[in-house]
Amino acid sequence: MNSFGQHLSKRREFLKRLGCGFPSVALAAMCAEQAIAANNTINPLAPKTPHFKPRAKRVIFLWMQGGPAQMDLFDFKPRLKKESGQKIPFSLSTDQDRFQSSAKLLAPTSRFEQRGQSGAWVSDLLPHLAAKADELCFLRGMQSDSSAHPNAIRQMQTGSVQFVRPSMGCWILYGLGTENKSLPGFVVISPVLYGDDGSPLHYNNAFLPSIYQGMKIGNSRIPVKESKVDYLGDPDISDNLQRQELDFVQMRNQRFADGLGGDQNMEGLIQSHELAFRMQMQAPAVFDISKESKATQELYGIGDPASDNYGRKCLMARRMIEGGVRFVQVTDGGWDHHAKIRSLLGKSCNSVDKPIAGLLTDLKARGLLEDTLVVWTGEFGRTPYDQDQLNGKGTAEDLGRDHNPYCWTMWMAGAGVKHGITYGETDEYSWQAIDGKVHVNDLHATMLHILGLNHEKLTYRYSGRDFRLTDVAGTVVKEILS
Amino acid sequence: MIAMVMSKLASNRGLSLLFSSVAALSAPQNEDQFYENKIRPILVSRCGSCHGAKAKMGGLVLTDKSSALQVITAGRVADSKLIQVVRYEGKVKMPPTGKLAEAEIASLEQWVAKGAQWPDETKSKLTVADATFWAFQPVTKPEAPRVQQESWAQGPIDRFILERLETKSLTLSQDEGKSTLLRRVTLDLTGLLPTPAEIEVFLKDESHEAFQNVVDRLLASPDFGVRWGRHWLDLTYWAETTGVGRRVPLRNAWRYRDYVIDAFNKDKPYNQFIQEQLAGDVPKSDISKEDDQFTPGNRNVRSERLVATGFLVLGPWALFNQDKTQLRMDVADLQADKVTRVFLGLTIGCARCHDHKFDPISSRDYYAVAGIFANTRTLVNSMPGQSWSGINERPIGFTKTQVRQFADEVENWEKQLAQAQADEETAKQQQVLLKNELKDIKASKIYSAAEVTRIQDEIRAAAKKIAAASHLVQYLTFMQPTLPQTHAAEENSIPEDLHINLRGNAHALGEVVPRGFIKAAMWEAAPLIPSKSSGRRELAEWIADARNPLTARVYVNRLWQHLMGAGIVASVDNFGSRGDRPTHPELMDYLASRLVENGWSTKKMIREIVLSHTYRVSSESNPRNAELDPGNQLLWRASRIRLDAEEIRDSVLQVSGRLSFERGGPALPLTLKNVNTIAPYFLEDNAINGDDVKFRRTAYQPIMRGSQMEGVDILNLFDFADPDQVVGIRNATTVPTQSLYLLNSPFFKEESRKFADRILSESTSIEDRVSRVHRLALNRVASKDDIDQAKQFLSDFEGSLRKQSPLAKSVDSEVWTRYCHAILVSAEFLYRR
Repeated sequence: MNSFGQHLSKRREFLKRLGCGFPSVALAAMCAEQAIAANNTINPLAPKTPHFKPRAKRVIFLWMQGGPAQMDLFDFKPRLKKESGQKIPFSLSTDQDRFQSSAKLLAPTSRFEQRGQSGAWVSDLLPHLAAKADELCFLRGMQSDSSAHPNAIRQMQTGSVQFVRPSMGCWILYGLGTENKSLPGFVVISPVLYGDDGSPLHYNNAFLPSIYQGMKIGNSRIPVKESKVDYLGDPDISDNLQRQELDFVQMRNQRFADGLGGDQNMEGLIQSHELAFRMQMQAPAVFDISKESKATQELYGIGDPASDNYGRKCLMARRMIEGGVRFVQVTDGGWDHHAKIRSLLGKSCNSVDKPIAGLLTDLKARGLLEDTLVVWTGEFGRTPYDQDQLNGKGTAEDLGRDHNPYCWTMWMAGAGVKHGITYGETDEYSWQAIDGKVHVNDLHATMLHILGLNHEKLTYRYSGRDFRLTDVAGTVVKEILS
Repeated sequence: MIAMVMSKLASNRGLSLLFSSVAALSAPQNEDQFYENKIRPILVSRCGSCHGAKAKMGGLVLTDKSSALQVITAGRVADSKLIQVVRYEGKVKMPPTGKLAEAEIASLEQWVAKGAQWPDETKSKLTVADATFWAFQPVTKPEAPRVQQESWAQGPIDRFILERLETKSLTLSQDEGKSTLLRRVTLDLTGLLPTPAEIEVFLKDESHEAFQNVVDRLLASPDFGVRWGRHWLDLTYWAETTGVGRRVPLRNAWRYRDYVIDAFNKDKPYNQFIQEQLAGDVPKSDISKEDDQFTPGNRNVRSERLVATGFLVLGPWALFNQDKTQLRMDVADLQADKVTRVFLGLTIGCARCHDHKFDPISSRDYYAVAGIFANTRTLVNSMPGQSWSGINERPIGFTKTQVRQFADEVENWEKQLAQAQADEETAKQQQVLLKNELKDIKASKIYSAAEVTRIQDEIRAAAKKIAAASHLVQYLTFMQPTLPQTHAAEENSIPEDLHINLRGNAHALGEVVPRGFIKAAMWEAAPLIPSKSSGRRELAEWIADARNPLTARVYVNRLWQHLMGAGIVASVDNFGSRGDRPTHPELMDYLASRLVENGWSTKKMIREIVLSHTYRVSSESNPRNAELDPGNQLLWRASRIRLDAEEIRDSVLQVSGRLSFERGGPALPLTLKNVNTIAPYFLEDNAINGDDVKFRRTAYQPIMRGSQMEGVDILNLFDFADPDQVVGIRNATTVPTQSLYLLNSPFFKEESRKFADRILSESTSIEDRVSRVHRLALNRVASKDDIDQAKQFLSDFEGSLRKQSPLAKSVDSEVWTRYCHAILVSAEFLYRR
């Protein structure tokens, strides 16, 4: 046998060690999980045992960046309707008090109705979601520490208002590992990267090892159907030829590592190349929603120009969750309705309403809702008083609402939470939370708890200190747990 | 040595010492706690809005001891005005908003009765364990130990290392072969690969000084500064943008980067380097007229020192934060954290909200240091009421030529601006006319649909013109030419001390803390800070003092890490109690003493380390040693280190023949396509540099906060230092996303093609070509195995390619591209060993 042949046989040996023999792709995929289990010591992404029995195994995070107006969607306030146009009956904080005399209360911009058995108030703007009210767990007393987008977004994504910290998806991946090594464990679909509040903090691992970084697909500026994962394949070379080249690379790598008397890092590189190749063979199929039936696509609102984009994102999310991805964030931007809220809020709602309801229906039908937590939220709420960007000249159609970190409504569904309940209460204008306050840190603590993680124990030592997603705060909201 | 023994003693007997110190300190601590838990909350929340640090009504600040003594007679409850008024018995009733709860009044009475103790400001909180902690002991130069294998040791460094190896009975490694050693040292000192010519010279040089000659050549190379300057930049928050979320370009940030690279190339003494970066703007009378002359690079000493303070003023500042009080504290916070971490290896950030839990650093220490930076002007327009702040800029020296250039630039700029404004105006008028026309036509009731569509299209076109012109106007306004300026620090005219921010909240103020330094690291009484100065110069001198126990240790440890793969203290940014202990404490002190002895010369220090025998051993493993010391902490073999992002990119460009050695100057592509309308301007991620910058060394690529540009994505993927953090140690991760980049990125593909073109044009036979690839990329001679396997691969791959696309052209080029690609993504290329 010549030396090349010897090395090929070495490669086979090495692949056997990975548990995969000589790989047909499908076989490699089947073996992936075993391979991880066998190499626990060197694979930081191997599934880990949570601190206690989890209620959910994975998360779909529906991210409404900008701050949806709670009093127009879920937090119905008759008094706000009655006193619309009157002066603000409460005093504003120092950084907002310039609006004290000019701003007026603004009535809910849509019609409300109590829905289902639970009687939760949901606006007509979300008809499909309204029909699911009995499956949702509403939190009305949400609170953030900042009324500025960059800081509030940072807090919702990372727990910290100011500092560079790992995002919650990274923490969850760090805490639980991933169930399928041929796919990334944490995916962010269409994050807002550019413009005023653009930032990669949604998937940034900060001080956590970069293996916990989220993989982004596209960004908010490109329709998701034109988005792709960076470097996932090279159109200029066929799979066969690339495999042939990779075999040569791996043979050289193995020879190099052997010559040094063995090296864990080199083994790591060899594995990493194999995983990358598997990923590029399998992931595109998972991201490809054309394999879904027409009926399923319609269920998600795909094909309807209003909801096509978000529908695709939701359907991709379901396919990923099914494939073993631990945390999927599905972004929709544009909820920052400072002006023309009457028309624009409805538009935003139209783009996500059917897709989200479709996602919930589909997850339930496939039994996935039993161990998947679905979370819907923005970074803060909006003010009960109006904002007139035309300085007093605006008509009713021009008005909008400003940022409000003192209360907003979010909801959760699926595994881990009680269904058909509303937790927390706001004052008569939906200006401040008065009962059942849930700070962003509390939300994070609760999400981790649902996943079987104790937020005080999920720590990472960096620069002499043990860091947590919840920093030094956070209380699990026990009342909403299933 | 004595310190060492002491610290060993302390750690052995640590438990008992700790107990006795706790006992001794327990009484005053209880009183402190009583004040913190019971008294301060009342004074702050019930009295603070009028008698706090801000309002100072009646000149009374209750949280300030000296002020509060106006209304408190310690030990005498009935005589204390404070107690009289809160009892609501006399004429004056306080607080006016409502009587305190009885329990609160009782606490105040109890406190006054016991003597109204404030937490002691002067007494050190150091416990015995703290005081003997190794890092705070003075540096003493230890004797190099005796060793059995005398002939192996080439100097003191080797003796320190060898002694530990012998004690643990670890066997010595072979010396590394010449080719690998040359690759190692060239990457370590310059971040580049050795060229074939350099390899040849070294292999042929059989003299005793051969390696020394190489080292001296590399230390003198301008690429030395590029490599080591970049290591320094990792610590500084340096980037060419600022902002959190919004990405605001900084036109002059490059000057600090160039200053740093230049400082390493000039071998600026480290103590001077410290002082310039911390206080280069504070006038000093040590500049002679001669020194202040302009050099050909249009620099004089004064400007250079101003540029150096870019260290302080460049950072991830939230310029849009409306709460300017908080912003000022946030900036001072990051500066205090950066300075102490970078120079002293201390993490004092925790003490912003509470006394440090593990290190002897109190909130008072923290606010003493932060106070120095709060009195340093970093931002402009950062008063309440201003919406956007900017980074302070100061003019630097300029020459007559520059003035002439400036005049031309202004003239040109004015023309451009006037043109853009005129364009905007014209388009606006046009739009009005068109709208009127449309109105008229519609009013006339006889019109064709086509005509309406045409006019509507024209209106839309006009709107586009308006938008484009208005973007250009904004852009030009931002780009107004200036005489040379730099981002620099400046002293505030009337410095004032900071209040402790309770729980880190800039609006909940506690007592005032005089500006000062870290108590635990004092070797004598702290130098006085003159009332008119922020204290920065004094801080800089204190840090740069040879007696400072931390400064030299922290620095040599950083240098050691970059050469050996790990620091003697592995946690290079943390020398505190939660950091790692030195693996070779005496060696660390030896190096620290040598640094100072050699006039704080970085190059001399690096030279001594690199010329040690320890540096030159092989990286090959050995089962017995690996079992005894699996982490190679005792350095029985050389480390294998994955090339960092810059090394990968620069070496790939080097072998493809496209690396440009142009140096310095601005890198940001400021001619932006889509300048956003929200002021001020920030960069698009897809702003790509022109070829003149694109192929320069990575250290000269634009570095953007938040995320890298698509053009240099390799930095994101290969653990480049996040410019929002102090990164003393970069991660060296191995993740599938990196492999995807290696396998599929246009960068690797394109450069592999260039590499192959080069190989194909330089040699003809397969053997020669394969040898050349090995020489260029792996810097060694190709073995017979290498050549045989390459032949096999080339012929197999060519066969498959022809089978797959029988009509394919340039098969040769494709096959060699793939071969070169395979070499560039292989472990041997990607690792330094």
